[in-house]
Amino acid sequence: MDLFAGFRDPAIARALLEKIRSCGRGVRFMEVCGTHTVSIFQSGLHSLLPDNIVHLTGPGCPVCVTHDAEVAAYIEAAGKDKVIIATFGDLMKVPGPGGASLKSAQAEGARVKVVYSPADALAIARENPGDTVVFIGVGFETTAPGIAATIMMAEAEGLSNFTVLSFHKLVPPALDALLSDPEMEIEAFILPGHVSAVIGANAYLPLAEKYTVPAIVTGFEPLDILQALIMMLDMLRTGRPGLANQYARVVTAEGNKKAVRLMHTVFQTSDALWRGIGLIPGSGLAFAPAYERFDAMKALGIELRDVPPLKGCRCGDVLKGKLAPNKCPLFKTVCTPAKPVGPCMVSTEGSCAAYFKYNLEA
Amino acid sequence: MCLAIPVCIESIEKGVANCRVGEGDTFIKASLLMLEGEAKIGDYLIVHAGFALRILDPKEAEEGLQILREMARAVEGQEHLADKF
Repeated sequence: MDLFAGFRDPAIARALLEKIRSCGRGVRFMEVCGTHTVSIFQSGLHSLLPDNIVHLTGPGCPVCVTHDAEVAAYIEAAGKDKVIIATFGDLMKVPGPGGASLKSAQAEGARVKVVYSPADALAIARENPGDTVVFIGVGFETTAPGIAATIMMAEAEGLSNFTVLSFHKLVPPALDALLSDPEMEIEAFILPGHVSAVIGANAYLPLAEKYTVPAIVTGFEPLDILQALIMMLDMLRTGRPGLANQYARVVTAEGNKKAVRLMHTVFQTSDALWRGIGLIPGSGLAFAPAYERFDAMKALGIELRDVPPLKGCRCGDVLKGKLAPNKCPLFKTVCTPAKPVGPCMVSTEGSCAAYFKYNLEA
Repeated sequence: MCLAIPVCIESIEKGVANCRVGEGDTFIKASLLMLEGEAKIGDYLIVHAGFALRILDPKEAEEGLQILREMARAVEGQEHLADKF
C-alpha cells in the first residue's frame, strides 16, 4: 500500500485538475480545518486551481477562533502566583489586551511551558506539587477527548493541582452559524477529516437536512482535496447537494464513540465565544459537575470579561470568509508572523500566516 | 497540533505506541487509550496531540486510490480523444 506517495501522485493530480477545469462551472468553497488550510497551500493547490474555484479558509484554526476574552483570561491566569501555564506552542504569541501575550508574560516572570500533549502537562503537575498547573484547552472535537482523558488520569492519580481552561469549540454548531448568516457566500464545504474521525460523518446529517449545500468530509492529501472538489462540483451541476464522505479510510459514519463518550463524561455542551463570530449557542464544552474541581476558571477565580477587540485587526472577517487575508490593510504592513497583530497571522494553521508564507499577493 | 499524515506503529509499550512519521526517521509516541479496537505493529494511526484517534483502514485506502486512478484514466482518455478530433 503506497499511502504516502499514492495520494500525492502528480500525474493523477494533473488529470483531476483538468477535470475540474473542464467542469464548466466554479465554486466558492470553504474549509474549516487548519490542517486543510496548510495542505492546500503547501501542495500548491491554492495557486493551481482555476480562478473560478475560490478557496476560503473558515474558522478551523483553533488558535485563531479563540476569543479575545479567552486570551485575556489565560494571560490573567499566567500572572497569578504559584501558577504554571502549560500550553500548545501556537498560543505563545497570540496578542491579548494591550498587546500582552504568553510570551510577554513569560518575559515578565510568568511560568509558561510549551507541551506537545495534555499528558505532558500532567508530568509538570506531578513535579510541582506546590503549584497549580493550568493547561489551556483550545481545539475542537479532535483535542477535547484527549484532554478529557488526561483529566480522568489526573483524577485516577489523585493529582489535585492539575487544572484546565476549557475553551474547546465544536464544529457542527459553528457551521450552523455560518450557514444561517444571510450574507454568507459559501457554496460548498470541505469538512474537517479528523474532527469527523471523532464525531463521525453522521454528525453533520442534521445540518445536511437543514441546508442544501454540498459538504464533503475530506482527507488531507492533495488528491483527497481535488476529489472532494470534483464531488462538490458534481453535486452543484446535478442539483443534488448533500453530505458525502471522501475520507472513508479514516472516517466512519459513527466516528470514535469511545472518544466522544470520554469527552461527554468530563465536559458538557455550553455556549462559547468565537473570534469574529461571537457567541454560538451549544458550541463549547464546559466542565460537567462531577469534574468541576479541574476547572481552572473556578480554581483561580477567573471570569470571562469584555475586552476591547484588537485595533484594526480583521481576523474576524477573514475567519468568516468575508475578507481575503491579503486584502486586510494590516497584512504584511504592520502585521507579520514576526510581529502579528491578530491570531490568524500567529498560528502556522492561520490563513494570514499561510498567505504570508506562500507569498500570495493576488 | 494535528498531524495530517498517518503514522506507522513500530512498537507498543504499556498502551503507548512508538510510531514512525511518514517515510523519514521522525518518531512520535501516541497513547492508544482512546482507540476502538486493538492496534498492532504495522498499523497506521491518525494521531492528534499525543492520542491516537483512529486506525487507518488499509482496504478503504486502496479502494480510494483505485477510484482516483480510474478518474485520472477517464480524463486522460478524453484528452486522447480530443487530440484525435
